Amino acid sequence: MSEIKDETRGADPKYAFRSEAPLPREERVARLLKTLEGILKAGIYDLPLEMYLNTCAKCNNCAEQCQVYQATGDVRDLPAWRSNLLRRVYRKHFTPSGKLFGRLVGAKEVTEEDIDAMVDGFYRCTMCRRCAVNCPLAVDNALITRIGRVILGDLGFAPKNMTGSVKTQLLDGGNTSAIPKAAFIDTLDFLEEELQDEAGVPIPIPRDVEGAEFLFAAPVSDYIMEADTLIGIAKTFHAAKASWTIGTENFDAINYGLFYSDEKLEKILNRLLAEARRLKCKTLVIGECGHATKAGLLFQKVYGRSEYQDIKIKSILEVSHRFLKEGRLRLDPAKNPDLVTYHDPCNLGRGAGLYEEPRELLRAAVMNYIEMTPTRGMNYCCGGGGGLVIAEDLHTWRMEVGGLKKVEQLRATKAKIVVAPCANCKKQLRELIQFHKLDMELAGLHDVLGKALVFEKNP
Amino acid sequence: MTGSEFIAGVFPYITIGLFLLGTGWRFVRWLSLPAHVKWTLYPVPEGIAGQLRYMIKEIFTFETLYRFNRRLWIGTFSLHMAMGGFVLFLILYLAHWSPAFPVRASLWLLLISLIYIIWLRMNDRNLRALSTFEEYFNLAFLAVVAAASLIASAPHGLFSPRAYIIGLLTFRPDGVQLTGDQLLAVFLGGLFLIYLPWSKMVHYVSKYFTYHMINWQKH
Ligand code: SF4
Ligand code: SF4
Repeated sequence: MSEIKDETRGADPKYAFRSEAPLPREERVARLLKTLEGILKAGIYDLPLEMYLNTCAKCNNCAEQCQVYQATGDVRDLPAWRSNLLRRVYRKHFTPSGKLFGRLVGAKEVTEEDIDAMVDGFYRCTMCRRCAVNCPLAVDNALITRIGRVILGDLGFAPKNMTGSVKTQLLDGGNTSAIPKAAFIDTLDFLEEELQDEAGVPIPIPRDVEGAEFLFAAPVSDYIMEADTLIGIAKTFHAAKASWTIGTENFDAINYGLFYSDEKLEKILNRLLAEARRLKCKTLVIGECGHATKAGLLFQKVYGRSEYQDIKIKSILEVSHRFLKEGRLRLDPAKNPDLVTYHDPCNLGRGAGLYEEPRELLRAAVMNYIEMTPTRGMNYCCGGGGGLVIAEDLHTWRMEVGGLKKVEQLRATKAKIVVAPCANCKKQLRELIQFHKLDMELAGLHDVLGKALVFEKNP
Repeated sequence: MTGSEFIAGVFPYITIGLFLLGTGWRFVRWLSLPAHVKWTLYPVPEGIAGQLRYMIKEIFTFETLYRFNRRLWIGTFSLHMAMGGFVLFLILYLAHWSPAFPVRASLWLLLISLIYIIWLRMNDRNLRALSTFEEYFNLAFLAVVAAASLIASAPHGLFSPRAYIIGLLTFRPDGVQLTGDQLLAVFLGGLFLIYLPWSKMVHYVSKYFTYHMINWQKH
C-alpha cells in the first residue's frame, strides 16, 4: 500500500504565499506529529488548548462572526472547519478515544494534503478572535490557528517576508527593518527638528538615559512610515514631564514570533526586556502596535527570563491615558476639527482590553467623534491581522477578502479620519483606503493627540 | 439475580456512579491543568455579578446562538429546555405535585428537537460540512433514549413508574414488575449517562473552564 502511495505522492500545490524553506514533502507528517507532541508536552497552553481541541459543538456560530467567511462564503473559511484540520489530528494521535474509534469520533490520520490545507487555512485566519466572542462554548479558533501556525513554522511554512524580517532582527543589534544604529540616531535627530518646528519649543527625544522610568520601543517600521505617531508620542511624554528614553541598542518592538514561532517570540521578547534592564528602566512601553503589545503582555510570564519578571510592560495607550487622567496633558480639540472614528486593533481590544483608554484620549483631542458599528468587542479586524499584512503575496486577498467587511464599516461612518493605534492595522487600512478609494485618511492615535497638545511658548 | 433484576435494580446505581465519576474526573483533570498563558478575551463582564448575569442569561436563552444561528437555536434551545423540563417535571411528578403528562411532553419536545437538529445538520450546507459521525451519533443516541422513554412511560397496566423510581431513590429497588420496554429504556438511558462525560457533550463542565478560567481571567 505504502509504495503505491509513494509513487502517486503529489507535488506541492501552489501555496498562497512563499516560504523560505519548507521541509521535503515526505518528512512533513512525521514532523508535524512531533511538533504537536512537543507543544502539548511543553504545557504552555495546557488549559485553553485542551479545552479548545476537545469541546467544539460544531454549531457554526463562529462563521457568522468571521469577516473572512462573511466575504467568501467558502466552506473552508468556516472557522470550525479550519480548526478541525488540527483538531482531528490531535484526536487521532493524542486521545484514547481517537486512537480507538478513529473517524467515528472525528479523528483522522494526518496526510500531506491535510498539511497543504493547513498552510492555506491557517493563513486565511487573521487570529482576530472575533469569532470567540459569541461562541456558546467559549472556544477560540484563533488559538488553534496560532498553534497550527507554530507547527507549520516548524515545518518551514511561514511567509518569507516574516521569517526574513525576524532573521534580520535577531542579528546582533538588528531590527526588522535593518536600520543601522547610526541611521537610527540620525532619524531621531531629524524627528527632534520636526518637533521643534511643529511645537515651537524644543522637545527632546532622549536616548539611552539610564534610570528613566519608561523605556519606549516602537515597531521600528514607524521610523520609516509613521513619523507623526512618533512625534505625537514624544510630545505626549514631554507634555507630561515624564522620564523616558529610547534605547539605541534595541529599539524594535516588533515580535513576529507571535504569528508563527514561540521560539522566536521568546528570543525577541527577552532582547527587548534586556534593553530595559540595561537602561535600568522599570517600565517597558510598547508603541502603537497591537501584536507587540500582546506578545509582551501575554507572554512575559511564560517566556520572559526570571530576572526580567519585575519589568512592567505597558501599552503607550495606557501610559498616555494615565497622563490625561492626571491632568498632565493640555489639549485643544479645535486642532482636530474633522470627523474621526476609531478602529479597535484586535490585539489591543479583544486581546488586551484597551477599549476606553484610546476613546477617552480621542474625545479629549478631537471635535467630532463617531463610533463604528459594530464596535469595541465586536469591531471587525482590519483584515491584515495575524501577520498577514506582512506577507506581500497576500495583498490581493487582504484587499478583496480580509478587509472587505472593514471597508463597508469604514464607509458607513462617513468619517474623514480613521484612527488606528497599531502599525499593522495602519498599513492594512491605508492600503484599503487606497484600493477601495475611500474618502478618508488614516492616522495614529498619537498623531491626533500630538496635534491637539498645547505647549507654553515661553518656559 | 436475573438479567432484568440487574438492569432494574443494580444498573441504575452503576450508571449514576459512573456518570458522577466521569464528570468528576473531567472536572478535576481540567482543574489540574494550568493556564500559563492567560488567553483572556475582553471585554470581561464586570465582577462576579456581571459574570453570573452573563452565564445565567446564556444558559436560559442561548443568546449567542440566537443572535447568529437562529435556525439551530430553535432546535438547541428547545432541546436543552426539554431536558431541563424533563428533570424538573420528573421531580414534581415524584413528589405528587404534577401529573405525568408534562414529563412526557418534555420527552416529546426532546425527541422532536433532536430530529429537527439531525435534519438541519444534514441539510444546511455549512452544518453538514462541519458534522462528523460523532455529531450524528450523539444526537441519534439521545433520540433513541428519548423514544424509548416515551414508549416506556406510556401507561402500562397497574405498575407505576413513580413507585419504581422512588424505590431506587430510597435504596429499596423493586424492579421486578418492569416490562421489557421499560427495562430497555432504563438500560439505554443508563448507557447514555455513562457515555455523556466522555463525549463532546461534556460542555456542561467545560463551559465553566472556558469562560471562568480562560476568557474571564484577568491579567
Ligand atoms: S461557535 Fe464555538 S462551538 Fe460553535 S462551531 Fe464555532 S468554535 Fe465550535
Ligand atoms: S479569528 Fe478572526 S479571522 Fe480567524 S476565524 Fe475567527 S473571526 Fe475569522
